[in-house]
Amino acid sequence: MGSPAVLLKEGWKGEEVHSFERMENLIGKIDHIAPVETGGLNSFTPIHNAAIKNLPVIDGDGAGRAIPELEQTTFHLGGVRVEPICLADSKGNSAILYPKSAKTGEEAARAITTVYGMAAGITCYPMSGRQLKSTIVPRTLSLNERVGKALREAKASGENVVEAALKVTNGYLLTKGKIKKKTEEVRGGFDCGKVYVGDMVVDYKNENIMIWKGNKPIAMAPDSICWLGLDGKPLTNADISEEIEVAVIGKKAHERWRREEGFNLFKHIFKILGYDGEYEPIDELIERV
Amino acid sequence: MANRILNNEGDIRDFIRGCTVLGTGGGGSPEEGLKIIEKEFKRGKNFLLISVDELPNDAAIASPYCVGSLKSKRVISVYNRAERGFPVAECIRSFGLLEEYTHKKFFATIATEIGGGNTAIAFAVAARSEIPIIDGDLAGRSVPECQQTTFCIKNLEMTPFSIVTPYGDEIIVPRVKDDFEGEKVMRGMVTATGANVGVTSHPRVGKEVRDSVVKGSITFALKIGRALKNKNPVDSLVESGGILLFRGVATKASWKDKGGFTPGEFELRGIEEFEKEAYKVSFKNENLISWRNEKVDVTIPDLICTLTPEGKPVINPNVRKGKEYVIVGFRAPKIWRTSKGLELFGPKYLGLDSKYIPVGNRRM
Repeated sequence: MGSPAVLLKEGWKGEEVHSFERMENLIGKIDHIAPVETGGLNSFTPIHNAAIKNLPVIDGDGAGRAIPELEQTTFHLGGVRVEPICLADSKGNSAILYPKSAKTGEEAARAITTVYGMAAGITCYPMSGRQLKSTIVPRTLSLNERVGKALREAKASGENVVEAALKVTNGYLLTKGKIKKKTEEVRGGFDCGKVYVGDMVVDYKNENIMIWKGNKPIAMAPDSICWLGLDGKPLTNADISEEIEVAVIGKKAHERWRREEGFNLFKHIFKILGYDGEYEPIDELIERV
Repeated sequence: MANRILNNEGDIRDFIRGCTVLGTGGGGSPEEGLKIIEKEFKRGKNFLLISVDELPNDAAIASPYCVGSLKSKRVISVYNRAERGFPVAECIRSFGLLEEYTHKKFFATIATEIGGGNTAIAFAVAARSEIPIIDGDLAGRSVPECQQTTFCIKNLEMTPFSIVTPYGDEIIVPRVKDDFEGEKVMRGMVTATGANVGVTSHPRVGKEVRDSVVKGSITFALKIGRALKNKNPVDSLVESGGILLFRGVATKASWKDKGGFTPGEFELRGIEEFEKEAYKVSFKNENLISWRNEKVDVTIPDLICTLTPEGKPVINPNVRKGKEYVIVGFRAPKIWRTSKGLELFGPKYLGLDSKYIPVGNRRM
């Protein structure tokens, strides 16, 4: 957990293993590890953790995308409690949280992560196999691998990387062009801002939450809004800067997300972005355009 | 072994009065402190005081207290819906939570500091748990930050510690890289929730407590509180070890809420034997440094205490322009005047290069 900008600057130190060990200390033997989200770092950290601990890692995760806040998972939607939450950093600091709700758990974990230098390992959502099976977004680790492979092979053979990406993700090309402008500020432990590309604007809070054309939404969380450099390099918001040429690819959220409660987990962010409306799935928005 | 203390409402008022003096302008609200102790008393609870020397070597002890700011939201606690504001129920729960985590039953509580508000918490938790409270504390006065304790001077860790919010969030911090980090976590939770939180820290044993606390500070607070009822309260304080620093009328008094603390200052125009003189006190929750006629007079770790001429101790948010005050100093407990103590809570904490000069030694 932390600020992507800080992690980029300071580097990752395997903190998640400390937090996992704190959890083992607390609840006893853990048999499997599951990623909580999909992303360049957090798809990898559970694999690393599992390798260190000689445990299997589940092919799936709690979101099928990256999420800014801890309660924004299909685990939470399916009734799995986030606590106890174990936090640890590489300097010997740790914390165990039993929050009243997933929302206050997110706020407390982030406040403590901020004290610990904006980067901490976090282990949470302890659950049974049965709970996992009914809430997980499945097969996302193998999808990650397929997407990465498709991009690599397209680039190597001189094919169009954007086409390859759209094919393997079943995604939508939302826009293409040079990054015209990017704003960024740190608010409450999050990297927030806007990215202006082509004729569209992307709002982000760590992750991309919404993309607009004028005042019309083109796609919104929980659906995914992804950056792909035209050179085939996928980008995070920490990487994005003016002049870079990108394609913006939209991807449908997993079925488990596509209900009112799923969208509602992001509602407080939409409100700040000036969107008071209901969830409009990306496939419906695209059809209309 | 343990003796009953605060046997009637008069005693309770005397005690809070004495604690507020030693709170040096901070230490929590004495009105709240009074209510907290009176509530337990009216329920028929006893307060049992045990001296540091009587503690069994292996007796487990811990320190429960409140961390918050004057600007904190007055939230209804999920732990006690009849309670709003000063987190007694959260402090009690934090004590129990730490017992659960450490698998220990605490033998006694110890106050984290002496002040009108926070010392009462240690009493309430002890009374509710039906265990004694130790005659001593971790400062001998009130202090602004949670790492400023005698345990820290002696390198006795504050972890594991517990934090409980009025919303029902319960946190254990098993380890921190140092006490400064621990203070930041507690303060971070106050900021994140906007409310006061209950904390229990320093789960230690009797043997460790013996040489690392300010002994007898509870009985000292009671003694001072009683002495202030005498006809000449300021003289009584001087007899108890105080030093008269100034008498004057407040010409300026201001404070603000910043980062969970209450920094500010007030100025006095001298009267009587201090006529034509000027005094200034700067504080961050507690009084930290004073100037007499623009020259530094007293600094932490020594105590700078504010009272009305009638002997009522005053916390800083209540200092009013136009009113008369007496400033009395006390020398800090010896442990603060060691090199580690001064590093933690001496002129260095104020960003001053100057050497610590004990109160009374500077007077010309």
